[in-house]
Amino acid sequence: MTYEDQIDENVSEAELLLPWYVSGKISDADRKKVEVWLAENPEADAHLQRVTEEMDLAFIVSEQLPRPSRASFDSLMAGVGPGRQQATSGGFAERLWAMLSPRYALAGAAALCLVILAQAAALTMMNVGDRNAEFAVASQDGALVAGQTALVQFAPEATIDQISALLTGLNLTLVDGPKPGGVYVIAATDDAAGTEALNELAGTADLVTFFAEQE
Amino acid sequence: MEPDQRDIELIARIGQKDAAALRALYSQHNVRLFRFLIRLTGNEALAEETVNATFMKVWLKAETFSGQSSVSTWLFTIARNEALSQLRKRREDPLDEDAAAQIEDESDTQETAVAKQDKGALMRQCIDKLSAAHREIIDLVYYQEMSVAEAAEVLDVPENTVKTRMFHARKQLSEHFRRMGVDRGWP
Repeated sequence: MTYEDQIDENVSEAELLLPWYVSGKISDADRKKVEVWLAENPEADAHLQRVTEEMDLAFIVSEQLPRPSRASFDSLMAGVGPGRQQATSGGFAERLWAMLSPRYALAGAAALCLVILAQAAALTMMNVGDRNAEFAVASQDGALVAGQTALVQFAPEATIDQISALLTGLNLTLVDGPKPGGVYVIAATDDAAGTEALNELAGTADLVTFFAEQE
Repeated sequence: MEPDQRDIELIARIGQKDAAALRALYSQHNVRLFRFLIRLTGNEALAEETVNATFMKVWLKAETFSGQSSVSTWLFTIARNEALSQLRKRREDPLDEDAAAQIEDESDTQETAVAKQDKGALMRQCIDKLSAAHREIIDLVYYQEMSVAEAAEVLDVPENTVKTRMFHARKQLSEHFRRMGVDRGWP
């Protein structure tokens, strides 16, 4: 038995399961164990809040880590070679990949959103603070734009109209979220104007409660 | 189509040497895989090499994917094994708890004032102070949002070990918070 297998006998299994209870990646049986434990131990609510805060902060911190370089992607694809020629059976995203340069291809799903979204993307539904909420964006002219991104958490009292007006006014685009902690990924054009727009967004203290530029 | 179903179809096409499918799979997973590997190895160059080695292995061995786990879990398992193999070649032991525990950060005092102003910065510093094994489990559970079973598969340990390791990692995290001047009231 190693150090990692040992645990204080006073620690209940429900307490061990708290991180998964918060993430939602837990079986129904285990969720019930945690809920019973929480109901029987009112003081455990503070512990639950700690886990929630840890998860939110850990997520934000990890989102700020860098991405693989273009050279890395080029190296991989050079090693792979052309492969078998693909017929036109792929979906929209894959057909788009085929026409994109490796510069865009390396950056992953978030960058895929960036290159397919026009600046006039329309926010069709958003529910700030609800981890299960979804949003959709639609390209109006299909222009391909790359950009810089930031992680943003909006104030709980901010309305969708306010946020939409703010982003539209600054020529910013919501491209991903909500992530844990109600954090959204906001994209700007990859130029000085985009930087200025993000700086202005960061300074909108009445609507923005957290702001961090992504590398 | 559900993401995992899409991944499974991509793996099938990669097995037929469809480079566009590999590129699509890469686009879906490269960033999170890379960040996990940075957490595990603490070395961006090695993390990048390992991401490539992982996808090259997928390119060459796609037909070995059994479908018993998700594609994502399979990728993380390959990447972790590849990273540990590379670290062993370099004679580094990323999961040496005792060695990690002996590392004292003398800059705590200087960092505290700044860190208190930014919980994100504080968390970053506290995670960096964890052992590799604890950074790894924190990443898998809090960032990759893996279930106990998925993390157990990636780490190749029993599910109970995942639970207890996460508990110890969280305790260490709170200890580092306390040393940085923030008492979280636990443990």
